Amino acid sequence: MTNFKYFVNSLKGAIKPMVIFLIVGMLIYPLVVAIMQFDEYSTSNVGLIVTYLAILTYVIPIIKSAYLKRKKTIDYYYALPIKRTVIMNVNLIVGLIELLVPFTICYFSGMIVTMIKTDMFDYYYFIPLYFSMVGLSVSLFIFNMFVASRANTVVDSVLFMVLYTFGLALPIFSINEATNNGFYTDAYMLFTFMPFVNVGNYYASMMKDTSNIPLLYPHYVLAIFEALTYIPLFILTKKDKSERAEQISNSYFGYRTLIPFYVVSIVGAVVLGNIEELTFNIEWFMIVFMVLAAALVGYVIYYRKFKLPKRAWLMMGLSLVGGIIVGLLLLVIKNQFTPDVYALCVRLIS
Amino acid sequence: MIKIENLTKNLGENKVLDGLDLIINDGDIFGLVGINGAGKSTLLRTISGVYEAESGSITYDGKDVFENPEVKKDIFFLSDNPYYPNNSSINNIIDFYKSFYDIDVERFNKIINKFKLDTKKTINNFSKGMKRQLFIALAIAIGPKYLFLDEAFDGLDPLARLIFKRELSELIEEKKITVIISSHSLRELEDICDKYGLLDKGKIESTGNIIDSKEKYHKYQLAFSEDIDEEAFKDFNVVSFNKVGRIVRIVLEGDVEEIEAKLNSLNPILIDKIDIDFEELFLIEVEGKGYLND
Repeated sequence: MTNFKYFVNSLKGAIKPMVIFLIVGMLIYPLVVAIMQFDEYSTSNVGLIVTYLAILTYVIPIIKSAYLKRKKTIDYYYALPIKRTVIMNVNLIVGLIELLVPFTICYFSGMIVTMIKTDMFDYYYFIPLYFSMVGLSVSLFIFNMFVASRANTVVDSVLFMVLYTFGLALPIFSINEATNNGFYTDAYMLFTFMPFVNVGNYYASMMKDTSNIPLLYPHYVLAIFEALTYIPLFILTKKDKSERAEQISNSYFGYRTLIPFYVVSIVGAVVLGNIEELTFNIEWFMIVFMVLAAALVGYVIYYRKFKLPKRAWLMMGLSLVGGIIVGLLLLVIKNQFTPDVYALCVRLIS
Repeated sequence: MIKIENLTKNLGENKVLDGLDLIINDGDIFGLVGINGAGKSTLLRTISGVYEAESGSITYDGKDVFENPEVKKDIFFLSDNPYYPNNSSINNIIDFYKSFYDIDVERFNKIINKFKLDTKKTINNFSKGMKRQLFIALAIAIGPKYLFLDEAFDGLDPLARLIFKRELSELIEEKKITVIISSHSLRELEDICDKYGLLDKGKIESTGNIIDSKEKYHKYQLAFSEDIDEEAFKDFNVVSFNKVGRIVRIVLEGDVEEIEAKLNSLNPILIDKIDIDFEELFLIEVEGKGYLND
């Protein structure tokens, strides 16, 4: 009963942001289609509301996990006679309501306005697009809640999200840059927001019966992976040390792993390209230098001081060495197989 | 009964609580004292279930507190810097806490009126002291079995302190609740608390009944006809010694009759016994730990 009352109370608190999200959404989509003139080149503009949904899928988790970031809110919530997993679950559910209620109203309002104004679109495709968007946004929302929950300050939450948004694609992106083997187009598809782009574009083109965009089913696999992060979110919420609020974000799911991961991925690609082409040009060294400089900035942000501990310098050194080893290993793999097999291996690894 | 055994709590690399043992009996009004950074807030947070102990145990009538809503529903912890959602009103706060506790709204309104808080204003517009008053009213209106107050008097003016002490005393009288109060306002603690614990280096270094503890020490002001040296008191168990001209202020430990007989043998022209208050007791205790030594 207490849990339900807490849920109802949290829901009441969500009304104001929900109204704000709704107003902004109405301005972005139904209002735009209401005032626009449709002609044969027009699209349904459903991408506007899909983009808005994608943005909220990043913003709301930051807000909903902010209670973990301040000592006084930790005192407030964790002193209550309620389990912390219940607090997390209520925040997750209320956050999804804040996300999906305005989206649903704006989406169907925009669809109705479009239907009234023109019959040039196949409105059947609004339905699968809606459910796809709901599914993808729920998955990414859970993933972003997990990512944000690993940070100890709101700023770190934002930075973690940025690093994860591009991090999943990074190894493939780097290899493509280094080898020019044609993976480039696939790599950016692993940016965490890309399922919205691809699925949105696919259905938008189907609505106009001009579909030449493939629906990439791996995006749904990515969504399943993202949804599964609920498991570590739940487990780590139970085990979390509440005193970590406002401290440096020391999680293994944060800077600690992400900075070396970025360094190894980029340096690996640089080494591979450099040795393979036997061109020790200054550009490659500049890239490595910039990566290390970015890592240094990353560690300054991580430790919140300019005088970095030995551990940070050691990790930068090890990451550099690790990147070189990875680059050499990729070269060995590449020389062992034909380009096609090599490409397949990289695809499988990715 | 709250039983704390061998409690250890680290904050980062600092061991804040280090093998702390303490028993708080039902109905105790316990003053938690210690220098800044001694770990008072950490102890209160840990026994409230906000922090999880590294090792050791905290039990309420045999039940663990951490992640145990059944135990926590009997606890209300008022932190030194209580949180309220932005732009919330007093009614919003009451509504929120009603989800978890039975609140005596009539009592709450009565205290709010005594504090003269404007219920129409949002809490953002309250001063630090007014916010404190609001949460004190809330804590008393909840009337939990265990009430923990961190820096209880911080920001309160003398009148608000008086109202708070009266309301708390009424609640204690009525419900026989257990209270732990941490504060640096030792005179206020002395008015309310019957027991105290001095937290130092992660442990409760001394604890007991405040009156009994004060009676361990005896403070005198003596006047002598001639200059007298500290050496003359070498047979006493001297806790503190202060001399201005021929006037000596001295705190001694031991049997009062024996002390007074010895003091008389020094032939002072005046002996005045002065009461020791809780603040002096605290200073004596911390001096004994070497904190006041240059």
